[in-house]
Formats: sequence, structure tokens, C-alpha cells
Amino acid sequence: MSALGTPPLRVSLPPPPGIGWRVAHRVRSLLLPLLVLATWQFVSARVLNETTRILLPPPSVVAATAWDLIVSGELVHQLSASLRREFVAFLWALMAIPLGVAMGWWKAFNEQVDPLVEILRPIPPLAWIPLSILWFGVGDLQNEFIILLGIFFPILLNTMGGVRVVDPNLVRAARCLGSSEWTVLSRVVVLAALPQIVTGIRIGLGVGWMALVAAELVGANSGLGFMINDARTILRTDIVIVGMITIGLVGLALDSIVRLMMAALMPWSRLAQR
Amino acid sequence: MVASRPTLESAAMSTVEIQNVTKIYPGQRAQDASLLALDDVTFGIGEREFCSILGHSGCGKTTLLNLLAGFERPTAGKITVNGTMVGAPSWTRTMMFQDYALFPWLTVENNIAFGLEQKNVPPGQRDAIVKSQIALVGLGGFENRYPHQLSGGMKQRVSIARALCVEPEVLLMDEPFAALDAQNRSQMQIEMGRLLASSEGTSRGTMVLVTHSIEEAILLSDRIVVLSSRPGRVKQIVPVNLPRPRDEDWPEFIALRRELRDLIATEYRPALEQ
Repeated sequence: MSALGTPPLRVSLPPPPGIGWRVAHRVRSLLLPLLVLATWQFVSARVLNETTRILLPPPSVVAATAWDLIVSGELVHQLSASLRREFVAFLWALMAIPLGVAMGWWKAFNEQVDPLVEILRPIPPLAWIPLSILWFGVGDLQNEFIILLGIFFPILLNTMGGVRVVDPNLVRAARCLGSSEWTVLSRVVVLAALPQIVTGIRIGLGVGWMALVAAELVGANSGLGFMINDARTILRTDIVIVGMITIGLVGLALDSIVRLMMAALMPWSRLAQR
Repeated sequence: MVASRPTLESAAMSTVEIQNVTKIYPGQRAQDASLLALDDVTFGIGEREFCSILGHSGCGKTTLLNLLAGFERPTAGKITVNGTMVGAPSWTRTMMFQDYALFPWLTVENNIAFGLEQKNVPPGQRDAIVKSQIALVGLGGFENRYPHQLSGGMKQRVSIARALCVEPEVLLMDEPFAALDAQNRSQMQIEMGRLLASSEGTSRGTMVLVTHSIEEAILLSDRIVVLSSRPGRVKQIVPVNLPRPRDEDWPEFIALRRELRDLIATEYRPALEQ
């Protein structure tokens, strides 16, 4: 609403907000978080005593610890271990896309596979942790397996759903323009379902990230989940909190990255512009 | 007026032969009655003829079009195009859809080129054809837009270009202008009429238009096949021997409109009672 040129008529548009107004607006939207932070600082530093303060260190201490962990490379080390597992599991979970397309497209195939999926799907990834530790031991493979379970089903279900609701006229249009069955599937059905496939990926990465931390709590020697559990045993609650905040921020960042990629890869999708 | 175009008697010379075609849709459940959509429909459509199929919604006119395209098979009877039985859908019979059915992930240019790619037209030639088609339907400057950035009228222009550029033997049109607003609709009808007038003597194929609009049928057709409602039967075949481009204010136009309206009106009541 800035440069409109010189209008022939004086229209009483509200003046564009100045920089001061925008800063004020931003500060105002941060009011509640800042208040919570201040209360936390006050309670921890003034109300709690030496002993109980260990359970809830003030934000100032958490910030200092975060800085130390960043400078020492510890945080980056643990974070990259976690991210690598998420990424490896994600690559495996991409198998859900062809499977989901096949299940959505061929009824006969779906009849066979669907009962199996319906039995496995409601089992939370975390319920697999004990068995997976026995199968894969403690370490990357076990963690990746748990994350895979978290990512796999959201992608599978969304792909299936997306393929099933493809506009039948798009398929007909392709067929009467001379497309073979394979072309219809690869160049029409998959693309038409793509927005929903990507939605599945977004949900899956989120679920996988949550499952990852749980898997690392019990079955890993590195990673953010391991870091906060390890810090708990030596009562370093400041490290625990830094780990928790990192997990939250990285989860948010993952989702934003997928969203940005969506917008870049699918300029035609209205879903991507949301 | 004597029909100069092939009629039932000379149907053996027609491009499209519809012989005793019956289509029955079985009920969804055992106790449901099956639906007789088309009952013993027989007529022929001549080479380069523009034939409209006119009737109320539910009279089976879209079913007939789907049978012509090869999307569905007749329960009884047969359809041939140039002597060959209609089998699977092919680029020799392209379709324009009421909802356009443009591929949302392809630009205007690539939507039009889709059929040419399937037909393995070499890229250089393909570009030339796309360019001339875009000029023909007046979409210059919009080559790189996506369908969601176009108005309904523009989308249907892309759809016309996409269906025509593969040079089909038969172009099937399923209420192509019904979803447009009144202004756009009459504009498109006029342009279609001009397209037909200017294509006299060129290599365009046979056109089959399904519509419930009497004016549209008169404006564009060489012959109008009036279908009765439920079951769809050929009620009458009305030739339109008027020069093109046509005008709704011509007395002959008005007389023909009245004739067709009377033909259709007797069909309206049973359709309501369904």
C-alpha cells in the first residue's frame, strides 16, 4: 500500500505505517512470550532456593549454557547426529510414495496390502522401541527404524488419498490425448496427487522428528535425545532445556524448509502458496 | 429444407457410425434397479460435419460422448469411426470438458503441447504448432501462465487448442461453455462459430458437441440430434442449413429455435418426475 503514484482524487487512505509503528507492533506481539520469560527468570532467581533452582534454572543460565554448547561444538555435533538419522530415515520412507500410488490406483493391489497397513498403522512408533533395540541394538540403525515408522505412514496415507481423489477428467483428458497407462500414472496421477504427497511428507517429518527424540532417549549414544537424557543423569537441567528448545526450533525449521521447497517446486499449486 | 448432409439412409458413408447403441448401468447394490441410459441409438455423423447432441440433463448425451471417446463401452450395439470399432481412448478422438480438465502443473504452452508429445511430434515442429494454436485461440502473451491464473474463458481456449492441435479425426465437446458466465459463453460461441467458418476447406475433423443450449446448437451445428430423456433415444435429427457465421436474430434461426424448443419441451415433464 505504498507507492500508488499521484491519484487524481484525494482518497482518504490510512497513511502507511512508519517504522516506529511496525517495531511497536512487533514488540506488542512478543509481549506475552516476554512476560513468560520474565516470570520464569523472576521465579527461578528470586523465589526458588539454591537446591530447587537446579530443577528450573533461570533463562539467563540457559542462554549462557546454550552459548557454551554452541562454542564447544557439542550442540552442533549432537544436532547433526539427529538430523542425519532423520534424513536417512526420510530417504527410506520415500518408498511409501510408489507404494501409496500403487495402492491408490490398483484396487486389486490395495485389497491385498490394505489389511496389513491397517494393522501396522495404529501401532505408535514408540511401541516398536523395545523390539527394535533387540533387533538392531543401540545406535543409528535402531533410531532410523523408529523414525522411518513415524515418517512412512503419513506419506503412505496421504499419497493413497491424493491418488484416489485425482480428478477423473484429468485422467480422461490424458487418455484421449494418446497417453499410455504408464504415462497417465507418471505424468498425470502422481503430479495431481503431489500436493497431498508433500503434505504427507510435512506431517511425516514432524512425526519422525518426535519419534527420533524418543528413540534417542533410550537407544543412542549421540543425538539431541541422548544429550538431554544424558544431562538429566547428571542433573544439568540447563542442558536439558537447551536440548528441548533446539528440538523445537529444528522441528519448526524442517517444516518451513519443506514448505519453501513446496512453493518453489509447485508454483501451480494453491496449496503451496498457503 | 432438404438435408445436404448424410442422414440415416446414407449413414454408411459417415465418419462416425453409431449403430443400435444401448448403455445400461447396473445398480450399485443388488436391490438397486439398473439404469437404461441409452436405448437403441442409431445415427451417423458425416466427415467434417458439426453435429450437436441436444437434450435435457440426464438424457444420456454425456454417456454417448463417453462411449464415442472410448472411456466406456456400450452394453449393446457398436460405434465405428472411419470403419474401425471404437476401442481404447486415442488422440484420434479428443475431448473438451466442461471443467476444462487442464493439467494444473503445466503452463498454457505445455498443456497444449501435451498431446503433441504423446504423439511423438518432434520438438521443433511441436513448438511451431503450439505457437500457431496459441495465436488461433488468442492467448498470445499468456504462454507461461498456469491454469489457476486464467479466467474460465481463457481456460476453455487452452482446452480447445489442446484438443485441436493433435488434429483428431473427431473432436468431442462435453458442454464446453456451460461453466462460463453469460458474456464469456456467448463470446466463446461466436468465436467457435468463426473458427468453424474460417476452417471450411481446411483439414479439420468431425465435431460432436453435447449441449442443453438450443441457441448454441443452432449457432454451431450442421445437424442437431435431439435425444429424449430416460432412456436416451434419438427423438429427431434436425438439419441446420444456415450460412455461417450465424446470427440469433435471423428469422430462420428464430423459427428453428421454436421448433427445437417444442421438441425438447415435451421431454421436460418426464424428466422432472424422475
